[in-house]
Parts: sequence; structure tokens; C-alpha cells
Amino acid sequence: MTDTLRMQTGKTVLDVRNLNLTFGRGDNALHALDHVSLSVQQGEILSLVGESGCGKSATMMAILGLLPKRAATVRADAIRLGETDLAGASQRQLRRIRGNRIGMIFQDPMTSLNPVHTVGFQIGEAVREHRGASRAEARHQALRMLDLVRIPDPARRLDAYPHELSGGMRQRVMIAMALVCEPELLIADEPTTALDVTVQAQIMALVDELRVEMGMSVVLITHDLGVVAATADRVAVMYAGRIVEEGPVEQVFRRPSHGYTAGLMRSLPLDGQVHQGRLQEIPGSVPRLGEAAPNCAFAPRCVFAKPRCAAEVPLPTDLGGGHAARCFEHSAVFADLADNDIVRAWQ
Amino acid sequence: MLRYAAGRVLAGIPTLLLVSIFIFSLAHVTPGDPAVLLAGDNATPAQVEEIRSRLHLDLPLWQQFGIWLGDALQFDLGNSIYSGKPVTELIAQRIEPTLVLSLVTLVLTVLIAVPLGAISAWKANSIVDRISMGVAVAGFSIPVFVIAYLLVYFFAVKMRLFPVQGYKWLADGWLTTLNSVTLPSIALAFVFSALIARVTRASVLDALGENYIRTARAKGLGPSRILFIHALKSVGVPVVTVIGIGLATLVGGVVVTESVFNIPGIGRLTVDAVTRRDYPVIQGVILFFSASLILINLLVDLSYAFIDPRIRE
Amino acid sequence: MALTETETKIQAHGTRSRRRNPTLESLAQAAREPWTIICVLILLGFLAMAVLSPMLAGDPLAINPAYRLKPPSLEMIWGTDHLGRDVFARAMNGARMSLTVGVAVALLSAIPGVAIGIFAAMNRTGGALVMRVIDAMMAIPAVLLAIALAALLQPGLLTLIIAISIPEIPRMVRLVRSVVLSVREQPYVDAAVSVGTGGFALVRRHILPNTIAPVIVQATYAAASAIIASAVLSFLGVGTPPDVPSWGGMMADARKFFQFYPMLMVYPGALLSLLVLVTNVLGDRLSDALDPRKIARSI
Repeated sequence: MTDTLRMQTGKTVLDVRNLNLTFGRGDNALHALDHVSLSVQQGEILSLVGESGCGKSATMMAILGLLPKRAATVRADAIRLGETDLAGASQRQLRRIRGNRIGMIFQDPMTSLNPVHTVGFQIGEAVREHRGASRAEARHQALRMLDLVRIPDPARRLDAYPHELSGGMRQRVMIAMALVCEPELLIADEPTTALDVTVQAQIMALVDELRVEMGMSVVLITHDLGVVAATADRVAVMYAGRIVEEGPVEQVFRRPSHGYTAGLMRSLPLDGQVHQGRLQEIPGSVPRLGEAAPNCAFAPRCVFAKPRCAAEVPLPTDLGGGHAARCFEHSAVFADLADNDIVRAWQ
Repeated sequence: MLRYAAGRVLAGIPTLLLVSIFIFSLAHVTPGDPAVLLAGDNATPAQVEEIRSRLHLDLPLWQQFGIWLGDALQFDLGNSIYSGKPVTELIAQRIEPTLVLSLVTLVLTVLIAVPLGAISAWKANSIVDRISMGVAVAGFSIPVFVIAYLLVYFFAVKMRLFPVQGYKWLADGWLTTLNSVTLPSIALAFVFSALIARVTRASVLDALGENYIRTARAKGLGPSRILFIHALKSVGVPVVTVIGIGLATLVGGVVVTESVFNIPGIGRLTVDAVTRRDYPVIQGVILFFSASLILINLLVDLSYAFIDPRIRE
Repeated sequence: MALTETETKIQAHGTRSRRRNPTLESLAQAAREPWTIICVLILLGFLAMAVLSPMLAGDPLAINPAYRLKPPSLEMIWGTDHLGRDVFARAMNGARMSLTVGVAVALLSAIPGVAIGIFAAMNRTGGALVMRVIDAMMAIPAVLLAIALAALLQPGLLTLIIAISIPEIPRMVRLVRSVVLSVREQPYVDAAVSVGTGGFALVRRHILPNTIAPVIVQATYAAASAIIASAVLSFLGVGTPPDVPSWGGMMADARKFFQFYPMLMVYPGALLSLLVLVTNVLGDRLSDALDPRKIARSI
């Protein structure tokens, strides 16, 4: 399977080639990911977008080796973090990567922190694990990180327990924990979904600031195209275990070329404007996991679908400028969306 | 924290009061004359009358209870019918072996059962898990005296590693004491561990599914750190609770084990009192054990605050 | 979170069968498991032992002082005890007592336990009072309470059963109460109340059926612990009179000769342990099958 062209501006931090993930074995095996390829350049924010269950998080969990070994089978041509090969790495090697070279923050900061340990202990743990730091050194690092994530009065918060902090504070603590070893890559799995709207923007701004300060790359998993438009450099749209469209944000927003992306765009309200008419929804529902679809998995829900879409798997079509889509009807999709408010706003 | 502690202590008082009502009424709700019962099987009518007036059995029940409770609060639990000695004195004389046996059992149990339960949860459905949980079911099922005699037969009679029975007092050196309680403690720990290991396994299994374990894994922590620092610490409350509640089962086991190994503790005192139908002693021992258990479970409640910071507020 | 979503989907994919009566269906499923079948077969074996002991073995009570502590022979395949009684006959007959006590205690703790538990959950003030008493009863070690009751009442099988049942009731009450409290939170119970279902109809139609599965499990555990408790009481000499053969009593008799005739203790001890073991394993199987939340074996 060919991959998408992309601008080779900087160093590639993460490079994933044809990642396949199945749960279970034999006839009951469920294909969760099908030939997922993506790469993240140094300093950029790549956003993975899609409905829940489309495989966004599973992709990242598979890369980090965090899926249950018994249930999940991961196969990939390559998973490279800088010069390190993760596809063939042992659990022990992966452990030295996690929390050290790749930091991860999760959706729900309420339950993602251990309630019986202080936040200072939990932040310092990674430094002790990966750098062999002493207790005092770990504490010092934790203090530095709390300061870095703009928590007021960090010395006092060091000995606080998670339940004593607000949701936004806890997510800041999660970020501090993920970044304490200064990783090359931060994976943020819907980091703002569980937070108040006012806090969401603050957290995203913080992630962006820290990215610049620390020169790291970010994979932002989200279902919110608004967040993508505001923060990401590049976007990969996932549907039913496949990346269906990928490219620089402005390219994809200017020229949406997959039926599913088009559907997402139509359901997005335009900032600062009173929307005319009602937002459109995508008809139908996400398909069940099962066999890897022998066709375009979105075809049954797609208004542009032609007989061919239901018969064969579309390969990525290069649309120039690092933009590609797995869609036979990409021209029709774009033509139909040409007068969409959002698309026009990006042109 | 102080309010929590005060609340727990206050909650213990009505329980203790109800327990004493219960124990007091045992002798009065059963058919027959309590004076005859308390006098024992070989008492003359004059002795029965003497007991009736001395124990105020001619007064209304609630007054009798008031007097009995007042005495009990001053550590006066009456006298033994058999030896005539005060019940509190008998208990005090025999408290050391029971305490030593219980403590050694408790330490053994915690050392064996908690790691075993945690590892079984980590390796759920593996061979290790199946074997340890199989052994745990056996621990529930084999009566403690059967295990005790098996141990005695192999380790005392056949291999002569430990004494067959008896207890060496701490005053004679703690090593010989430890040697004398090894087999009884192992027998008791086998039964007690079964309970603790199962509850630990179930709690850790739940904890391992929590989001914060995923966070710990994403941090790159190793299995032992995840299991013992993150999962096990967060299940401290249920595990300590079960240890506290399980002590009630342990007391039953202590009574039987002391009898098997001929250890002169409170359990032995109980059995002797039962065979002699020495009712004041039976009543006193039950009150002693129940009050101790209530006290221990109060301490368990207070320990929650140290284990789980969320309870401190 | 996507992982859990994925897992949920896998589960949904796997179990799409429609159930009519979940309790019966799970029971039927449990009955097909090999361990369940083995346990039931062994239990039936014990039942046969109890019923057929007069035909299978000799007189368990016949004393023959001239024929004491004899090794196994063709006539008495497990030898004789210190009074010259047939150990095999006594061991077979002992199954009667254990099974009787197990079944009786299971029933005598379940019936009052369910009634009191439902009351405690449905009646606010009365319930609080009842639970105070239950807490207090649970503070008294069960074996001690049973010993005291057995020592107080007239010795006999009925005394033994009552003495063991009383400490079992609080556990059942707690279990039933917690089940009823959680059922009462269910939307369909709210719905039933809102359309005017009340009192007995509510309990009979919605509450009681939900308690059946956990009560069956708990009663199985109660039977197992009752069999142990009766052996303990007999072993300590406060069980049934000596003329009723029991495994605990046999072991108590064997104590004095244990170092030289260990088999006198092994036969009753092994039978006792096996019976309790299969009962407990059956309880675990039932618990796995009947209760998705899994009742942790209560203490």
C-alpha cells in the first residue's frame, strides 16, 4: 500500500507504517485497525480525528504497547520513534520509551490520577523510574513541572492529593506528569473532553505553549474539528479503523476530499456566526467491528457513494501538498462542498 | 479527621451496648432458671438460692442488666463456678498465649495472603492464579483442626521439628515461644489467608482496570511498581477491612487450635468452661472477645484515614 | 477510553442472545460446566452414603471392647476405634449429620435472613434499628456464639442446628438488604411504584426475584460453613450426644490415639474436608454464574 506524500520539512519523530490491530483470534477476530500509516514531524501537532470507536486511541495504545497482550494482536511494517524501532521492541524496551520519550495524557483527569498518592509523588515517579533520580531530586523536578504547567503556589500543591484539586488543575498535573522527562512526543487523548468549556481553551493553550517551549511534537486525539482548526498543523481523519484523509490542516479544510470529512465539516458550526439553517448530521451509524471492510467502510452512509465504493477498497489518492484521501469520489466531494461556509473561510 | 474519629468511636458505643445486652440475655432467654444454670450442674438448692440473691436474679431484668453492666465496666465479670476465681483474673492469666498466637498468625497471613492475592490478580487466569485460588478454596473448606493434625503428624510426630503440643511462655525466652506457636499459627494462617487472598485478588483485579493504572503504565513503570505501589495501595481499605472483620473468624479458629495444641490461652479457657458449663466464664470470654473485636475494628476504621486521603476530610 | 469502547463492542458482539429468565439461564449454563458436574456428582455420592449407610456398612454404634483399635480387615474395611466400633460404618453414617446440618442451616438462615433483610431495606426507621442489632450480632465471633448457645440449650441435633443458624442470619440479612437497596434504585422499580404498585405486590414481583440468585449462593456458603461449625462443636464436645455418629465427634475420639492411629482421624477428616470443599466450589460456580457483580464470599 502506498503512503501519502508529505512535506519533509523537519526531522520525523514518529513514523508508523501499515499498522494493523486485531482483537481475538480466528473466526471471531475483530479488526480494529487496518493499514494505518502516519508520521509526525518535529515540533508539529498532528490531530487524529474521528468518532469514538474509530480507532484513534487504539492506534496510540498499540504504538505504546499498552494493549492487553492476550487479546490484541498488533502487526506493523514499522513503528519508529526517531531512530528507535518500536514494532520489534520488547515490553521492557517499550517501558523505557513510555513516560520518558513519549508522554501521554488522557481524557478523564478525575480518574487518571491515583487517589492515594500525592501529585508530587506521581509526577516525580517517572523521573525516578527513567532517570534513577533520588527522592529529593524527583520532588524538585515535580515542583519545577508544577510551576511549568502554571499551577499557582506549586510548593503547596506538591503534597496535595488529586481529590483536592479541580478538574482543570488535575489535567495540568497530568500534563506535568507526562512531560517531566521532556519527551520528544506528547500523545494527548481527548485532553479536554471531560473539562468545563472555559478550562478547555486554557489547557489547549498550555499544551501549545509547552510544545514550543520544549520543542516537542504532539499527537492530539479528538473528535472536535473546532479544536483541530484552532491548534493542529496536520490532521488525519479516521473512520472504522482506517485513515481516510490526511494532510495539512489548511489543505484539508480548504479542499475536503472524503465523504466522511465532508460530513464532519457540515456538522461543524462556524465560530462567531449565527448559523443559517440547521447543522447537518451524518446519516447512519458507525459500523460494528468485524472483518476489515472489503470496500470503503463509509460507503453505506456516504451521499456521494457510487457502486465502486461498495466493491473495492479505495487507496489513498495524492491531492498535492501532502494531502491525500482514500476516496474514489474526491472531486465530487469537493465540488459539493465548495460553497460551504467553513471551506470558504479557509480559502 | 478528628470529627471522623469521634464519629467512629461514638458509633462503636451502641454496638458494644447491644452486644452486652445480647450476651446478658443469653442466660435469660433460654429455657430454665438462670440461677440453676449459673450455679452449674452440681449445685445444691442452697447454692442456687445464694447465687440468686448474690446476682440479684430476684430483681427485674433491666435492673439486673444495669448491675451486670456496671460491674462489667469496672472489669468485674463475676466469678468462675468451677474455681471460684474472678473471671477477669482468669482471662488476664491466659491472655498472653492467645495474643502471641493471634499476632503471629496475623503477620504470617498478611505476608502470605496479600502478595499472593495481588499476584493472582496480576496473572489472572494463569496457572499461578488457578493454583493459589484452588488452595484458597481448600483453606476455606478444610477445618482448622484437620489442618492442625496434619501439620502435627508430619512436622512434629514424623520430623520432630516442632513440639507436638504445649506453649512456652515469653518469660522463658521468646524464641522458644515462637517455636511453640509455629505449627498452630501456620494452621490458623492457612485458613485466614484463604479469605484475605481472595478478597485481595478481587480488589486488585478491580483496581487494575482503573484509569490510573493505565496512567502508571503510560509512565513506563514496571509491573511490580504498578502492582504494589499503585494497585495494592489503593485497595488498602477493602483489604484492611476484611482483615478486621476476618478476625472474628480467626477467634473461632483460635479456640479450636488452642484446644488441639493444648495451649493455655483464652480459647482453651472457653472450651474448658463450656465442658464444665461454667456460665460466668463463658459469658465473660464472649464479652471479652466481642469487645476486643469492636475495638480492633474501630482501629481499622481509623486506619482508613491513613490509607486513603479522601477519608481524611 | 476508545479501548474500553472497543472492548464493550466486542462483548456486545459476543453476547447478543436474548434471555427470558436470566437466573434460570445462568443456572443451566453453570450446570454444563465440568466442575459443577463433578461437584454435584460428589454431593450425590455423599447423599447416597447418608441414605444407604445401613445397607452398605455395619452398625455404627455396636461396641466391642475385645476388638479395639484393630487395623482394617475384610469385615471392617477401615478398622475399629477405641471402643471397637466399626470406623467405616461410623464414617458413612456421619454423612447424615453433616448433610442434615448443612441443609437445615442453609434454610434456617435463608428464610429469616430474606424476611429481615427485605424489611431492613424497605422500612427506614425499623431498618436502621434492625441493622444496629445485626451489626452487634456480627461483632460476636460466630463459633463462640454457637458454642455458648449449644452449651446453654439441651444437647441435641436441633440445638446444634439452631446454635449454628443464629450466627449465620446476620450475613444473610446484610446481603439481602444490600441487594434490595440496589434493586430499589432501578428505574423499573420506580416505574412500578409510580403506577401504584406497592407493598407486598412490589416485594413479590420485583424485589424477591432479584434476591433469589444471591441468596442461593450465600445459602450454599452457609451450608459449607455450617458443616465445619458442626464438626468444630462436636470436636469440642458441645455437639450432638456421643450416640449420634458425627465426623467431628469421631475426630474428637481419635485425638488421644492420634500419634499411633492417625488413620482414625484421616477418614472422618478427609470426608469432612471433601464435602465442604465441593460445597464451596459449587458456591463459587453458582456465584460466577448467577451474579455478574460476584458476591465476594462473605466473612
